Amino acid sequence: MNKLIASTSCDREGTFQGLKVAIESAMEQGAKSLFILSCDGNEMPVEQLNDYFQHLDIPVFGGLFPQIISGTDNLERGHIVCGLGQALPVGTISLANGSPARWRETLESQCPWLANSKSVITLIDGLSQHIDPFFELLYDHIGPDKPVVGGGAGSLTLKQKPCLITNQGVLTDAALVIGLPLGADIGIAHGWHQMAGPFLVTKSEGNTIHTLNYEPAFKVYRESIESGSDKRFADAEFFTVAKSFPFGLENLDQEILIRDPITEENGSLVCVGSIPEHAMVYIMQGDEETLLNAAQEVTKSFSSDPASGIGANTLIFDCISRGLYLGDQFNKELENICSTLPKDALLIGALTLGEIASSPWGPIQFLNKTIVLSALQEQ
Amino acid sequence: MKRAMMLMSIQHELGMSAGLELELKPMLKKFIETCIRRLNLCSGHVYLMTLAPHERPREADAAGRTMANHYLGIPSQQSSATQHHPALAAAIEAIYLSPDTPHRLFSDAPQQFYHLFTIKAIGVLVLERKNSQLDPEIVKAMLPVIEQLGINCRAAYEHETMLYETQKRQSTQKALHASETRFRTLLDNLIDSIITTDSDGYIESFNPAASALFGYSEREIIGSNINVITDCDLPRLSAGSSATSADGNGKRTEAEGIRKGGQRFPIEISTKAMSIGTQQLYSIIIQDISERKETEQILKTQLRFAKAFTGIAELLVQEDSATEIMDGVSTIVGEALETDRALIYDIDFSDQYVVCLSEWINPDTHNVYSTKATYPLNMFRGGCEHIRQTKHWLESHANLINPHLLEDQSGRMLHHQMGIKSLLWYPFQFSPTGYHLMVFHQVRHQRHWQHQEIDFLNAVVQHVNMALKKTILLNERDKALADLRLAATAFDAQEAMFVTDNNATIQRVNKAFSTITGYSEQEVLGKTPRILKSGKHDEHFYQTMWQTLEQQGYWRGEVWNRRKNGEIYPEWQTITSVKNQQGEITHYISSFQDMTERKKTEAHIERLAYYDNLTGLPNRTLLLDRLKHELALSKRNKKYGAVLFLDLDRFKTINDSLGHSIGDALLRQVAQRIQKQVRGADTVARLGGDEFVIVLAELNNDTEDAGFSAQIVADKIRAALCLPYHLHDHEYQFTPSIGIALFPENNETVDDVLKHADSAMYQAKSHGGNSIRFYMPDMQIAADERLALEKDLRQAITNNELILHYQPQVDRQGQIIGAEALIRWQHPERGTICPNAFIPMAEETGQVIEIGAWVMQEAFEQIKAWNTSGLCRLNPSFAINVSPRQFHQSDFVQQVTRLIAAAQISPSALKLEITENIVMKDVEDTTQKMEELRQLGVVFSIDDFGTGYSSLAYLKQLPLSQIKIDRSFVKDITNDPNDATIVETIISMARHMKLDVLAEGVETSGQLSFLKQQGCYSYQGYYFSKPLPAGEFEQLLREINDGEKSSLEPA
Repeated sequence: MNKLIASTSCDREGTFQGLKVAIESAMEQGAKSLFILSCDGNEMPVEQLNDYFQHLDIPVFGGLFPQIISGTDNLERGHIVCGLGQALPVGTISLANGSPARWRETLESQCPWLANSKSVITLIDGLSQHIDPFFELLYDHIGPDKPVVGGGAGSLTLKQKPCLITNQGVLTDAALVIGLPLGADIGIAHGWHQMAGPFLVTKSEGNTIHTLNYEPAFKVYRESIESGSDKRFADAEFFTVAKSFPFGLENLDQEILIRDPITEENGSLVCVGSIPEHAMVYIMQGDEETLLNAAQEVTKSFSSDPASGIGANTLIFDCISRGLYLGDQFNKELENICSTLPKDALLIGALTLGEIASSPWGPIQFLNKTIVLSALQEQ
Repeated sequence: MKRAMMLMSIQHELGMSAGLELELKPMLKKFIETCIRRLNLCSGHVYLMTLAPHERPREADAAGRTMANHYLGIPSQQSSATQHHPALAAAIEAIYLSPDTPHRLFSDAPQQFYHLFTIKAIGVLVLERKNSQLDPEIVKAMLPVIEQLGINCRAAYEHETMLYETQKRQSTQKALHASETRFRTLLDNLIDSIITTDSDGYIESFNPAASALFGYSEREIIGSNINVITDCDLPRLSAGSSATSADGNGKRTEAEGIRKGGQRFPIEISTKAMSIGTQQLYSIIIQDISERKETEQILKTQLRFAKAFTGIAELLVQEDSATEIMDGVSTIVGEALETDRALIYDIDFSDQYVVCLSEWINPDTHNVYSTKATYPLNMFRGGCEHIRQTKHWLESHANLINPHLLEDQSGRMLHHQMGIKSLLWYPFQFSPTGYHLMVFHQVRHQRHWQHQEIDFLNAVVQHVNMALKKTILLNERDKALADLRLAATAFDAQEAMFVTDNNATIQRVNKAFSTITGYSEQEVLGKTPRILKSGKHDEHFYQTMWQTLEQQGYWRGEVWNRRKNGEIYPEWQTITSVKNQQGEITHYISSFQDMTERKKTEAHIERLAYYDNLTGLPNRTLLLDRLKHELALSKRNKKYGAVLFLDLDRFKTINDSLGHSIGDALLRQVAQRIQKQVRGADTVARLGGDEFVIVLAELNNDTEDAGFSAQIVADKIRAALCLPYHLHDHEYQFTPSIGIALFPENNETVDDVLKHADSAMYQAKSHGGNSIRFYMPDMQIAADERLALEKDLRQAITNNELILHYQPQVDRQGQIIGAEALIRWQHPERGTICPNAFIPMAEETGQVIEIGAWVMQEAFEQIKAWNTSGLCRLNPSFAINVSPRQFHQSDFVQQVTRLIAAAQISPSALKLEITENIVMKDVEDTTQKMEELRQLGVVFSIDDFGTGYSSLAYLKQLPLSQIKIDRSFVKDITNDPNDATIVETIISMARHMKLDVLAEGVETSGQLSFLKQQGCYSYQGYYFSKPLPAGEFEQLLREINDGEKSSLEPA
């Protein structure tokens, strides 16, 4: 069987012309479908992109992300175009003004091929209000046996705008589901460790925590951080302090799911991703060392047999807030990841607004501040 | 604490998600979704046995079930899983058919676990988990939630049915009548309150459950407005109903219910609007959520307590002054208990004062002022004396004066002036002269302290006591050091002191020296301190001491010395050199303290840290430590050990109904009984509550045998615990559930082993208690098998199932010189069972004694019969095996003598075969018994020679006649040079010791030639004859006797 990723090209200018050249080159090399990772900072006119993608005669999918990754480089402008050796069908689910019942109908009618796929890539508008219910539905539809990875596309300005590339153009508030004919090994790591807690989420709605231990959430959060560090909320913007102290949701198996608090409203904390009532949360902290160590740990769950070639083609969805937190050190994170992959491995992906991965026990998780790797099982 | 919080939050959330909905399926779906998220499941399904009439595709089958045809679950793609998984389907059906089994675990693939829960009269909930099964504690916590889910499901089901009937009844008058009857029956039988009102909120129907909840009869309430029974009015309810009318369910609202007597209580209301003809009605379901609210309250309290514990732990680490500790404790505990004022007093009966050490006042209160002062003890004498005697806390309230405080009139007056409505006195840190007292005042309202609050104080006090003890010790040491500095000038201190000259000759001692060492001044003057030497320190120790003295001018450290009475004791000693103006050493001053008491205190503190106060058994910390050690040891020695997790059935009920003092007495007796059933090297620990863990070390290197040994111990423990207990003049009976996990299995950790045993214990519980289960299913099967065999073996003698075969022993001409009696068990179902399969088990259970006695009796009678028939003219000797247990019985010699006499046979016809193990177990006893029997004429052969560890020196002392070379060496003598050498050595050794030698297991002519060549001339084995039933052997003897045969030809 031919390799799934038949060609890749990386354009660092981020111009429409550069994108076109890369796509045409991939098609000349026999691509039967296209996977495109593009930067939100490219500032290309959406109408132009819509027109171009609507006239492409092979399936295309991808997204506009805050940054994209090629090997050890993270780019704020540019495109990565992967020519795929097979025509991968793409399911497009519009989340706006829909209901889970409608999404289910769309999945059933558009994606009958999911049943035969061995793994799934999903890209979603990272600023959609429907992320959690959509992934619950997707899991309900595909079951526990297919690994799922992906990331949230969108802009770092946190303003919702077109960000998902399809043959219908660039879409807003939607999700893409792509079934792969190959299995995948998934690696997940974050490197944050507990600083305070546990706290019981005693009142929450969606992604807003109202109370922790029956006290206003921000009060508990502020007191814990200010007593355990030299950071003060009075001295800086909320997120400037909060980005270093995400929440960690502990589950029954002592695994920690990270949730970023992004703003404070009337004593409540608004996070990226939902926080269910009665969850047990910790306030986490990390430093460059623990975060960078995590990057070396992330491939741990991959097949250990070098002959299997696992890691030769690896997709990465890394959190943009890790990139911002680590700053200049972020390349070190990518170097650490590459050092654990086979020599000359292909590592492509994006810095995302939320990462997506199947949990070890089955359901699909929407993650924050986390690295997700997916090594395609080419053999 | 973290674990408990996690458990509680899971139970709480699952409980919330199991709340009543008006429709069955959405309710179940919500519950499954919550389970998947909170329990890290891969899938969750409900197999419904009950469907609302409008959903029924066909009538239920004869059993009223439509098993596995109707389900709902997540992921939906897996919904037909059972159709492809018949074993799971069978397990689901089986649990549904056993309504008294609320939970079962099903697993038929590694790392794939299905937890099946019965939802009574509704169906079966199947939760699938990858990698590991659910913690038994979680399963336990889920059971009441699922029971509630079942109740709510049935209510929703009835509600759906009712609606269906109501809609149908509009079609025909007959149907109307039928549906009205059914509607009425349903309403009457529901356990949830169901009410219907008209569009203005006036009550039209009110079911018996509602009557029971609110206290109004149907007649009283019909026609009244809904706001009579709740503060939630119809506009609010109907707004909820229309808001979610799209999915058919009304919004659930929390409100207050009002009982007939005016008592208010929390309720949850679901409302649904419905139209019957032109009439608009509201169907309202009401549920009492007092229990849920209580759980929330408990959770809040637990969180406060957890925070307080963290605070106390930090305080005790950071502070080492008693004052600071007291201040911190009163603040933390006062806040945690949400009291108005918290104080700590020192009650001192020697100076008759009550001194306030610290005070905290709740900042949220007004008009609560400081009462920090010192009072004469007389003001509170009654209460303080009572506490001193009982060491128990007491509480009192403004309108309910505690009888022990009655005599404290001035104290009561003071309390009255302070405006105290309730108070709690909690004593700690008892000493011979008094104790400390935590005092909590409630000023704003009256308050009764809860059980969990007292438990919290108990735990706090334990921590504080330990910290204070350490503080006292530290202070004592500081004082000792200060005294040492003073010693140069203040010789007459309380510390022991002596002064020597620069040659270490004692010149002066003080009184304390004589008190501690027992030597008077006269006895030691002119001598050196060497008279105190205990011999516990080597030369290097003293060299270092002198070196330090020379370099630094002083030395201090712990020294073990000897008193005049010979007792060795530890002392904390400081030696200082005294120099003259020229800087030359003129004297040494030594001061020391006796550390015996301190060592004891340290040991006591250690005991507190590692042992359970109630039973004196190791606690969890020590258990984990020992288990870790055992685990490592087992891995190294390749021997299996076992962990037994034991829990008393119904203990909580007993504790709650009979009181904690009886519960505590019971636990102490349980601990003693368990200890009596295990070996000294095993660990019995109490984890808390009624949970005990027993670690059985290094049982066996074979898994099955180790499992069986563990089963035997567990059974002994179970039997011991089932005997009646005499508690406070009454007799009670209890049963335990025991889970067994063997270790090491893989690379499991200590926690894993405990979890496995706990999980097995939980299985034992779920089998109705009073039972023993293994964690590994294979082990359970093997144990059951062996137990069955053991049970059968008990009957084997009475049922005449044991028989003896005789295997001829021949000389080098092939002539029969004797036979070995070999036991066989003719099992009615299993056929003939070889001794290897049951003798080791009989040895373990002690049945071997009875069997051994039977063998001797049977063999002797047979020999007698052959003698009488004249078949023993060539005087063959009959070898009989004796087991270690049998041999070491105190009356073994008498038994043999008696049986010989009874059978009237010649003792010289007997050859008792003993093993090396018998000898090594007790050489002296063995020699004596053998000697006694030898004098009677009985001879001895040592069996399986070479396989044990017997020492030649011992063998030489024994009155042996023969050595039997074990079959394992004979087997390969022709092709294994090692075995050949061993056999050669044995034969040569026997020759030197003038012993006969007989080779067992001779099967080939090659073996025979080799043995002959080496000088071994007696044989036994299949080469000559297999073991023969008595009749066949008799025939053989007869043929030899009649001259038909002179020797045995190879078989």
